[in-house]
Amino acid sequence: MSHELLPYTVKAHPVTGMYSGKLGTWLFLASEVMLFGALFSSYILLRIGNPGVFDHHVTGLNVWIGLINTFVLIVSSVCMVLAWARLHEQDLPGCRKYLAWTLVCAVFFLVVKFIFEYKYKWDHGTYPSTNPFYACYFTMTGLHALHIVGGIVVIGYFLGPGSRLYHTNPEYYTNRIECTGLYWHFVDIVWIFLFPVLYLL
Amino acid sequence: MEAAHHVDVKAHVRKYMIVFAALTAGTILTVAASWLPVSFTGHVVIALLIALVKGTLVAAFFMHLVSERKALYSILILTVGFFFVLLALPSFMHGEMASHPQIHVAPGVAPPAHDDHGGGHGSAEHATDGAAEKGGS
Repeated sequence: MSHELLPYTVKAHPVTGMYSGKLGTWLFLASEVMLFGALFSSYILLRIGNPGVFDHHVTGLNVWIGLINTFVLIVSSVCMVLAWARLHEQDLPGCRKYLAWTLVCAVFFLVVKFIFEYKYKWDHGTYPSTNPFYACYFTMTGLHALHIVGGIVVIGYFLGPGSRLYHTNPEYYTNRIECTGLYWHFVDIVWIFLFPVLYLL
Repeated sequence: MEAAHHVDVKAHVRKYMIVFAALTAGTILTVAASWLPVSFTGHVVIALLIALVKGTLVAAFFMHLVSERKALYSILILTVGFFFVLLALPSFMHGEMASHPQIHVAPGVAPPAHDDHGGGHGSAEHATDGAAEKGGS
């Protein structure tokens, strides 16, 4: 079994006090903070250099769409953590139900983003090259959307074929769901900051 | 032992629901606060403070940071420190920006279209009247 080749996938490492997957996920998220931090930094720099262009009265992004998507991501985060909680009660069907809801929320977020925002903007001739605000907007929300797509792939895997692991090693599966959850909550946190920065300020 | 474990999970779920309610309230509050008649700086401070509280709630409870090992805190404190250094970089370059104002809207590029389907924000509609028709990049 592959998990026997990797040490500390279930039990905590004596030095770090946590299983290796969790430490690895947190280190990955730390690098992600730097990635988005660079984008937020660029946003501030461009905003200072372009007074007026970034004003939300001028950009005219639809706040309600952003608000709906924020709520959807919050719901997805709750579903994700509840999926993990179900595993602690040895309830795999319950876990899969919440994973499925997380997936539904993620797909809904992307559909709203692409149809009601990106497509609408492209149809009206608004592209990243339109002005520095839209360069930031498409880059930051696009990268965030890519993270959502990544989350969909991983959650979809653990909802489908990956869930077989539960029958052979439930603790390992629970830990994998926890790591997936860490990633998903991080994606939620990024949006929590993107929403006011891009839509309200 | 099993019963105690069950109670523990249920207590966690109750906590998640409280956090969910707080996040929803925070989101509504963020939008409501954007209509307050305060300065731009005031808007920035309010919006980022609410976002910070919401982000902290997600990290603390959904990501279980409240019950994590101290070794993890040192990694995260280092990350947050570098994150703020990144955010502070533009302020060091502010003077440079003033003397080299190349980063501006490209000449001949029209302002962007705004979403007028199903809402908007305050006076956005008026601010960009006519811009949508021009479009183009």
